[in-house]
Amino acid sequence: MLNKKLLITILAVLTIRAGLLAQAPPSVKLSYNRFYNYDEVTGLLKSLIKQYPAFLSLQSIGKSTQGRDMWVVTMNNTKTGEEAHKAAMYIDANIHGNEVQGAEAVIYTIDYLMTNYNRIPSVTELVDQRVFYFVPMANPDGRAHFFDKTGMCGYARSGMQPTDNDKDGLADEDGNDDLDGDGLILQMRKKVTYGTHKISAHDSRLMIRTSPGESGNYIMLGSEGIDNDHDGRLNEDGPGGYDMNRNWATDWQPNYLQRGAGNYPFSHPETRAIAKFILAHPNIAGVQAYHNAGGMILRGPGDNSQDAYPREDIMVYDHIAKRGEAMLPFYSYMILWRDLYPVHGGFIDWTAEGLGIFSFSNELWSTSQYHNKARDGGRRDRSSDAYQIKQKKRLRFDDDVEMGAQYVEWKPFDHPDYGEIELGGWVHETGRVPPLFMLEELCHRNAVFTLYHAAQMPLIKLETIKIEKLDHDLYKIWTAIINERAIPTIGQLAGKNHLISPDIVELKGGRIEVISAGLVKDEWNNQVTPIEHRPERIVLDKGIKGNGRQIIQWIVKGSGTPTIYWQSQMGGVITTKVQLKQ
Amino acid sequence: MHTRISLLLTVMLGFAAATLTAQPPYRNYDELTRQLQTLQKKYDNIMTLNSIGLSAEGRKIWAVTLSKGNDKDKPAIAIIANIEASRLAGSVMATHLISGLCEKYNTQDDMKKLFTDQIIYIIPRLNVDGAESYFNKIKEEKITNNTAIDNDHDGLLDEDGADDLNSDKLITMMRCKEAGGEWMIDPEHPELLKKADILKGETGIYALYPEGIDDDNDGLYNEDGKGGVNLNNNFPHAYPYHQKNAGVYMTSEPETRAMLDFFMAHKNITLMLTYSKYDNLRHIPTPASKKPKKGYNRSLVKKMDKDDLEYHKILADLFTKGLPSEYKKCSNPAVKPQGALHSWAYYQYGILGLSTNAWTRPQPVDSSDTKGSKRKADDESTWLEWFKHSDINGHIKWTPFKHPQLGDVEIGGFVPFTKITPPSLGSDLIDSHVEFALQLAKKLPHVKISGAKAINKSNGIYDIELTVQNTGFLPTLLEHAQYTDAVMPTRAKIEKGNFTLLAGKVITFIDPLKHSEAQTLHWTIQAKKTNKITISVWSEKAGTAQQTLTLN
Repeated sequence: MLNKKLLITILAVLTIRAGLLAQAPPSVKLSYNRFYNYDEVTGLLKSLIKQYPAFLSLQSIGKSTQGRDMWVVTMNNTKTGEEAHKAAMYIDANIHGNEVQGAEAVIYTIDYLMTNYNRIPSVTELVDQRVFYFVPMANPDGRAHFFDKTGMCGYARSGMQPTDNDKDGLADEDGNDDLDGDGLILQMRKKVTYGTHKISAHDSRLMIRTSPGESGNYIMLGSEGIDNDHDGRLNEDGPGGYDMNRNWATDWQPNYLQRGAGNYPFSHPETRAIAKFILAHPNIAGVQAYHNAGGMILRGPGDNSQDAYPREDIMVYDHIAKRGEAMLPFYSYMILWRDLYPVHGGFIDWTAEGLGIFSFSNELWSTSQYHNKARDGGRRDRSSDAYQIKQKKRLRFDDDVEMGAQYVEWKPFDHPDYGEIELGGWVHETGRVPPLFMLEELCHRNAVFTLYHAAQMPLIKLETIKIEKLDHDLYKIWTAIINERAIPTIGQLAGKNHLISPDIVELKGGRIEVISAGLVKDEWNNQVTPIEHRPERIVLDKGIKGNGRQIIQWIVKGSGTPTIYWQSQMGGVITTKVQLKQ
Repeated sequence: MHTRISLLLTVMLGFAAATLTAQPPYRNYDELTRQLQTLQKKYDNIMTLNSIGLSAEGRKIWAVTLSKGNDKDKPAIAIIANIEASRLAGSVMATHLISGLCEKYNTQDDMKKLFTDQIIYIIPRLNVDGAESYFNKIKEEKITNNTAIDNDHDGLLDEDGADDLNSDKLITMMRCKEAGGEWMIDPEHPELLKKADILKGETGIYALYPEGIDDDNDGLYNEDGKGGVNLNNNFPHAYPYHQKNAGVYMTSEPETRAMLDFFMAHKNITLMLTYSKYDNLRHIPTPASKKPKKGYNRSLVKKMDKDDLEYHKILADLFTKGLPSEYKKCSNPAVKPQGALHSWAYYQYGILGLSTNAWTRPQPVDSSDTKGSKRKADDESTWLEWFKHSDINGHIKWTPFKHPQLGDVEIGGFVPFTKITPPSLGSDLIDSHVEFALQLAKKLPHVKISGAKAINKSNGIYDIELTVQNTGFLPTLLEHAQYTDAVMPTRAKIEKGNFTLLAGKVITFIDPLKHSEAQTLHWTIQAKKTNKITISVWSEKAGTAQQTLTLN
């Protein structure tokens, strides 16, 4: 018996392998040792859907502030069921325009699932059982700006709606400037007699703030630019100036409490488009939003003014995130407000606390990964020897492994306002984005974590375990509703606040009349709680727990083959028939 | 004979006037639209009519602008009515404000200046979809719009609304004798029910349901009718998460967003008033006991600043002083605002947010009724007295009915809308509101340049001195607006010209200025004689000013 099973498995594997060899190589060639700008991502999404039309579709859900399309890729195998009838995983990235590598991780996930469909059984299963929604660029303008020649500067985090940051009545009039035309926004320093900084004794490239009692020979002038609006301040009003990850409708707070919150929830075209899309797809049962950096698997609440999550929900979060910590070296599972910082109106706060979806946000890339060694903790006293030695190590990584690519030596420049200055320092976003040769690994590890999360979305099976004839046309039916995965169809928080529609199980068809119904509390001791109203349409407002089972008892009169309809917002829509034997 | 004729005439005229006022003044959307368009044509020298957005069902939300001249930066008042669907009295009051103000503009000379210096925006009906329910064949009072909501959390939308069982075109209540029922007949007023006080040993005999059948057989009656979201619970301050009528999330409704976008696009709005179920002009809010802590980490402000409240109180006082005596006290109890527009205006937009019931039950009904004044403001028996006094059919006698599910019931109780939509608002009340709107307009802040000079210090070196003063009554920035940065600071700007700035800034921020307060700014420039220097002052809430100096 066992041997036979094994033989079948081997044969099956061999058949798949043989099929693989015969299959044409993918026509879309993607590289994960480079970044793609907005237009390139648009192009490759279009090629991907052309290559996998049976699974993928591409849709623009709106336009960004500057008129760029907001792309959503939907992955659904229509042969295994309707999109709305399966639990869906929503994955987005790059809502902060400068946090670019998330988009690559999203694209990698699409590519990986499609390339390995019918090759790796668990990939096939995921694609067949689930729906995926991918939004690689939640902030198209921010990403486009980041890869602009002038874009490698601070405000790429924001969207590109002109904003008056310095309250002078003008918007975006004084941003960074690439003074020497090298395509980089570097740091500016000036040699002076009474300065605040000096060059480190450990490494001539490090600038150290002077300690009390000593005088420095440099002042730091901030990032590259001029005082475009002549108000005495440098680069104080660059493009945009708000935070679209603070513009969501749970615990949204105005700007005085939450910098960058915007005028009101969903006041930006980008956040509005995404909110509309998510609300129109209530089957979304899992959310991941990629950010950078720090190596974190984050969950809510975003602020401790919000209630802590209920115990049963926390257990599910813990289970998934702890598996993730094992998949993602140097990443830590953290609660936003407690372990990072308070966030009001964050995206995953809305999806988790406003919509009842189990949601994570990963902070992609940890500087510990430079040397595959956990970074030493402790406070950052920039003038300490310890800090300088640590920085020197970073420089050594750059010198040796990246051949110096991330650091620009200080060079003289004639500044229109400051005269003789020097430009140099770290290339922007170093430490937030990985060295390119490490990008693919980052994409893969985060993708598999998110796929594990997706696999844990509720998956329901209906099993009629007992049909008992009570009289000549009177039957007692016991049907078990089984959730095979860790995430409940309705989380505890979602149930408490009625965030999602209740699960409905109906019995109809055949020639039957439903006389009564009950929830079986203890199948061994015959404990059944009666359903008072509408026995043919049972409302389960607490859902089916993760890896849980609920048996329904029906007493029916009649004959034939009635159908059980299971309808769950996040637990799919399925039916099964019951045969009433005379 | 003559006397008799004139007496007859008086009686006739009086009768005619009575018939006119007896005609319910409420207009459905199409009638309201036509009324506004007619007014606009009549008063096109001062009134413009615009749509500020579409409702969920595609109706245009109308905004009226009353202003002389094209200055869009001058201080403004916004008056918003009928945010709650059933509060049509507010929209009637708002249209009376429009015609009343326009008429005054055309007939009184001092109005020219008022509307040259200020703008009044009026949005007569925000909840354009929900308000239509008043005109349905069957009257059912509702405050929400028509967004489909699963109120009973059973996966079905709007599946169990009320039904007019006794075909009287009114949705009233059903009482049904039931063991454990909470209600009993009020011994003092047999037509009313009261909750049995079990501590006094009273026993309830009735269960109370809104009129209708249990359409979805879930044991609940009319628990999930059409709609909806109460827009005045949908704004982002003190938003009542997960509560009935509040919407799925804050600002979920297109009408809410249209309103917010209007305010954001018209930051010159310095003061606002809503006609709603909240009345903070007759129920004065309690202020915060101390100032919130300043610094990088600011804290959520939930109560009005004490200094700001002083201004609020002055305006509230103006209001009540002007009201006809029977309206001076609000007959409705104070309600805690949650997600309300006027609270948003103060806490997040940084201006005074006034709100009042457009109409309340006049009181006392009879001055000899001393008992009445002791009763709770919302005492149902007082309503009965008022209905009787005013000859209004406001309460239906309990009448037996055979209910298909409940068996023997009685249908009766208060007639929908009668407590909030009177047959007429009364010209006294309307006049006092028109006068109040004018009084408010006169209180707005104004920045003026009250002094400017260029002092020739030596050869080509000038000291420029400019004094900016608030000639209005309200401050240029409220305390709360300063704490929250909700309002931009006032600024003075030296416009580009043929000079070199030796000291001072191109843009200088001016401190918040209270009534008659002034601040003097200084610059040192180098320029040639006869050159001109222009300085512009801009205030978000107090208008603009400009001065050009010629050097000599």
